[in-house]
Amino acid sequence: MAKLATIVVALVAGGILGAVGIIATMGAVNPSADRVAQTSEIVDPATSVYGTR
Amino acid sequence: MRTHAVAGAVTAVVLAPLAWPGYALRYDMVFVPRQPLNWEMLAPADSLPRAVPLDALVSLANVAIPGWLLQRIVLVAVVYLAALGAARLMPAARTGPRLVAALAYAWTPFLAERLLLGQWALLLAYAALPWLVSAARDVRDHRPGGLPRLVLASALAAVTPTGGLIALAAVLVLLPLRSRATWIAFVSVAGLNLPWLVAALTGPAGGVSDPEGVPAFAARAENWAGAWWSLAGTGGLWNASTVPASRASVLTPVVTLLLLAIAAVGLPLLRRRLPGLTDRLLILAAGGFVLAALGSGPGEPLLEWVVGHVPGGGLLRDGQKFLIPYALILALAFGAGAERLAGALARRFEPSAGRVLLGGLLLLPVAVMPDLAFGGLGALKPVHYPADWDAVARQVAAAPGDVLSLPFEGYQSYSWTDGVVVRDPAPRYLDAPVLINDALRVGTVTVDGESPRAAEVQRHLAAGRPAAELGFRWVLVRVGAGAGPPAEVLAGLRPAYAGEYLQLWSNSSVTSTSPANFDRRIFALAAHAAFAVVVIFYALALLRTRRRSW
Repeated sequence: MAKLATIVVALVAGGILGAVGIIATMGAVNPSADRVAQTSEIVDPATSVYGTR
Repeated sequence: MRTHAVAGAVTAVVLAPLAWPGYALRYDMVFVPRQPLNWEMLAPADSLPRAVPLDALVSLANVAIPGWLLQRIVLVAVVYLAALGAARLMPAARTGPRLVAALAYAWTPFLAERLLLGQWALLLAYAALPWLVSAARDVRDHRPGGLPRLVLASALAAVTPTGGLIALAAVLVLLPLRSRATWIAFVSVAGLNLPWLVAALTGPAGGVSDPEGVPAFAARAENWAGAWWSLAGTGGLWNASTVPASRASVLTPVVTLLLLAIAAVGLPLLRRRLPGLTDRLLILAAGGFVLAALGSGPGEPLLEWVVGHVPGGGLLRDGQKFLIPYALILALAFGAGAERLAGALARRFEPSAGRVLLGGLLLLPVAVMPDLAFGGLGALKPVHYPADWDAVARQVAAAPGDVLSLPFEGYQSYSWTDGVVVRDPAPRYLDAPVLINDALRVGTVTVDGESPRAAEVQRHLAAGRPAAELGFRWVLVRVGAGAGPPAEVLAGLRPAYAGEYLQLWSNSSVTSTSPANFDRRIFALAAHAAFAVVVIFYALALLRTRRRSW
């Protein structure tokens, strides 16, 4: 019973971490649509912008 | 020992690219091989003292340590001290919850976003806060050495105005008001804030700032949950270009909710273990959160009025930086919550079930923001300064005089920085007063600077009039950073150096630097001396206690 509980906890914790990690990594390597849209709005791709919102 | 190992591992993973030679240059992070120690570093003549006493300290350290090594030392100190400080402050008998708190504080969106924006000095305040709170606990409990540790941690925070103010507020909130130690600490930390206060009060730059900076630098929504929820997860920095992409994930707000729920579970335990201090830290955190949220909500008009009318109000415009106390209480409460949940699980089933949960929660911050690893997936990759910089620095040092840096933009990307935007290195590279534009371009908005001289030069250049009329001994042109200055602006100047990346033009009609304000210099020197005296006094006092090591 106790070992089963450990396995269940490990599966749940691992599953959550795995899912979070996979989705976060996807977000990291593939910027969301609103970021792409924001970038494409910049008419003058100036090299002197401190940042963009 | 395990806390040191985890702090070291986190530091190594976050700062891995710094194993390569060169300088990690990003936005506000500008280290140079040898930063000169001159009056500009003590009290800048034409801008608000945003890097006072930081610049003087860097110049002083640069006397003994080269810039590339100094950069690595301070960045390692930031991540390592943040993780270790949180672990040591966490009131838990077992190591597991301490490690959870360490990672929850050292692997945060706040640290990631400010690091990628290059604001390492603000992150020194972030790293110092757990140590400051720990020392405040010792002062409250009348333990020897508490006061010196409190003031020394504040000194680490007070290298910038924002950090100094956070330290001052922490002293006032965390310590009991009716105590002699509180007022000694308050006066000492106020003394640490003197360098930037004196420079601001005696400088020509106006004390008020452009209110347009409030919406430009307000907290930003990083995902579908909005700006305030981004702040709740310690993110929400204004600059989309320096935010890890994982913050835009649809799952991030859900994980923030999970984090807050676990912190809520842990808060009662934290209050029991740190009686009094937890409540005061909560008040400090709440105050910081309100300041952070003010610019992106109904409080924006009020903040605009403060920034535009109250001298020094500009300090509040990028309010997200005041999230530091919130990030700390969140990490501690999350650690306590993890301990409670793991304990409950272990009692119900077996100890290993609790340990598995603790391990999972330890890694949660990494899982939700994996792209902080390896310096934001390579964003901190070091680059090398072109040899032109040394050549120009030698020429300017041989005939010192005011330098005008063109194009007249404070921040630019260059081919040699791999396209990364960085603050003009000239004021730190050249041993001369360098005027750069302190107006900031955020997207299509230009937030005016505070320097009257920079504004005058901007108008002059915009009218297409020659730079030679402005009274600068040298005009530096950063080639390849956008369009170069038009020929009429350079009329009347003689080329002194022409390299691939830099050109130096000489104005032989000007032979000296602008007249010095000696009163201002004496005040600035005295204020920096006060800072040094406070630090030395409390360092000696700490050595005398010999009770407990850092």
